[in-house]
Amino acid sequence: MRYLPVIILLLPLLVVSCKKSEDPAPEQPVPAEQKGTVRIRFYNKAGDSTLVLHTTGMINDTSLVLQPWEYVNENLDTFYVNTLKYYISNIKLKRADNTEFVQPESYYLIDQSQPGSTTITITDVPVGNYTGLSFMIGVDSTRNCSGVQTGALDPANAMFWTWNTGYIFFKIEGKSPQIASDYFFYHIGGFTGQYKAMRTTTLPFGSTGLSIQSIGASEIGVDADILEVFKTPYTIGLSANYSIVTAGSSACRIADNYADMFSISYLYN
Amino acid sequence: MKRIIYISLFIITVFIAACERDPSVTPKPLPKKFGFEAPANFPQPAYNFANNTVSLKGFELGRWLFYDPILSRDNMVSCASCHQDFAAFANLGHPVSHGIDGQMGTRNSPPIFNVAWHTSFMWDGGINHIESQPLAPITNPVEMDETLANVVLKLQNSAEYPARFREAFGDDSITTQRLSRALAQFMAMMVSASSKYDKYIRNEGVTLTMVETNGLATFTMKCAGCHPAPLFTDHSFRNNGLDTVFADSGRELITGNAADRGRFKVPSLRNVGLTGPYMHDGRFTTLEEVLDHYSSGVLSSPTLDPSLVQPNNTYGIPLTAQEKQDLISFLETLTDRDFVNDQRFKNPF
Repeated sequence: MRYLPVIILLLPLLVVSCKKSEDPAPEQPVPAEQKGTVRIRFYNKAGDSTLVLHTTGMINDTSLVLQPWEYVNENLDTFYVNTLKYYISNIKLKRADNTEFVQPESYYLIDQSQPGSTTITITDVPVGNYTGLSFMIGVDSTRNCSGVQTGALDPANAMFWTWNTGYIFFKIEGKSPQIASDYFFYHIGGFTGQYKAMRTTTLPFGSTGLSIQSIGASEIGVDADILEVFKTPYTIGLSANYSIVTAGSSACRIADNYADMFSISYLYN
Repeated sequence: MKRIIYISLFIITVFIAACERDPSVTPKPLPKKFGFEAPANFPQPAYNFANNTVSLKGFELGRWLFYDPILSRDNMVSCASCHQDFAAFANLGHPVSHGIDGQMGTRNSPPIFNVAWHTSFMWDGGINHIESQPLAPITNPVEMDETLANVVLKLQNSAEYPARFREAFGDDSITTQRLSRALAQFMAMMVSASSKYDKYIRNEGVTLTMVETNGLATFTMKCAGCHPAPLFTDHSFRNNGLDTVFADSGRELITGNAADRGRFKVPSLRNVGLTGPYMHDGRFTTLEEVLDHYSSGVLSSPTLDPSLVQPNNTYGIPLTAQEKQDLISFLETLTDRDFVNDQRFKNPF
């Protein structure tokens, strides 16, 4: 009884200590969806030959023999290529039931002068069977309006128009004896208005399909034939079309041409 | 025992008393956090600050970069070379500006203020994001003639910038995005909303003179269609009759649309008393010349703005000599001395 006042004084401490919340019951682990990895390797070619970049000199167009870096287009122009760069984005893998895996943050700059850039490694793909691949050649309009970005979308990659905000989706440059001023430059872009140059291509895997598993990495080989830049549906002559460096109808014709330049060359499960 | 109880009671009472707030004492206001603030009479900004919240260090980094000629090929041309603080960041007295190696540009250098409210930049609106804006002059061969990759390299190799980037962004990594965002923070903070007109409109104890009031009335009737308050631009692209044939196609260069030929961005008229010469090529030296153009100099072309075609098929905006004087007096009330004198935006070197 003598200690009652002390007990009363100490009661608040008891109350405070009892207020401590219970630890929440541990969550039941959600069974993790199994994920795997797929590599997409791009092979830039001119017809059946690997595209070899060349930077100096001029083609001797009296010679009957083509050098390994010299090519002939549909219009019978001879030319070589010193620069080939293009954006691959918005990669999707399709399934038989018409659902798809959509890669988040899917932006890559394929640069023929940078060997590492031609392989795209995609992790965290749900395990299973896939029937096809689709991607955009270029950059979607949202990301053309999103300010200065990083990585593949960094304007410092020289694939960006600073005077008319927007990405250069596809850049090919080279030299041809058919051109009075020697050089050709195609900087294909334009994401808004009448002349949008984004193109999407869908490549089916055929009857075998592609199986992505949780161990190892599957692989998709994609050929990109740059001779297509100059044909189907429009046959392009270099002497009349050596500089296409703004958005517009000419850029869209080139985009229509290269939209079908990609094909599946192999699938490794 | 009793003593222990009384001491305990006393200590507890002291603690309880200390926790009770005396309601008659107001808590000290927290120091105002540095950051972007929209004036009360302005609409919501167009720029999304979510990925680039303005911080003191980010702002200061942008300020260093703005005044630093390191952004140019020869390390002699900075943003401030053509955007002068005392001219509301326009280029005083220059119809067009000269850049690296004394090369001339083709268009009048616009002032810089209230950029957070704009959805496009440049006279032809070719730039759609304030972060992307600096990239154009940096890479333009007649302005600063640098490559973005080399700017980043120079900044990385400098003595001061790695630390400044670390203070602004958390680590030393210097990227195109970070330098663009720092500049965007600096420019976004350039809010001009403290002119005589603003203080009058906000009832801050300022009155306009009779002449200024008449000018405001005339302005509201004859100019506010394209230059509405509070930004004094409607952000549209219009052909205001400067030519019949255009050496500079303006907006058409961006959209490829013939209907945009000779159309240029309606500029804000804030600080117009400080930002001459006027128009996309700086052809008018004085505001008098500008108003004479509107009253009697407007030329017809297929894309002439409909608002400049009068019912009797004359062109322009009828203005008496008195109305012109009144208008100029009113336009002078749009000069914001607080903005122009703001030390935060001045050269830190």
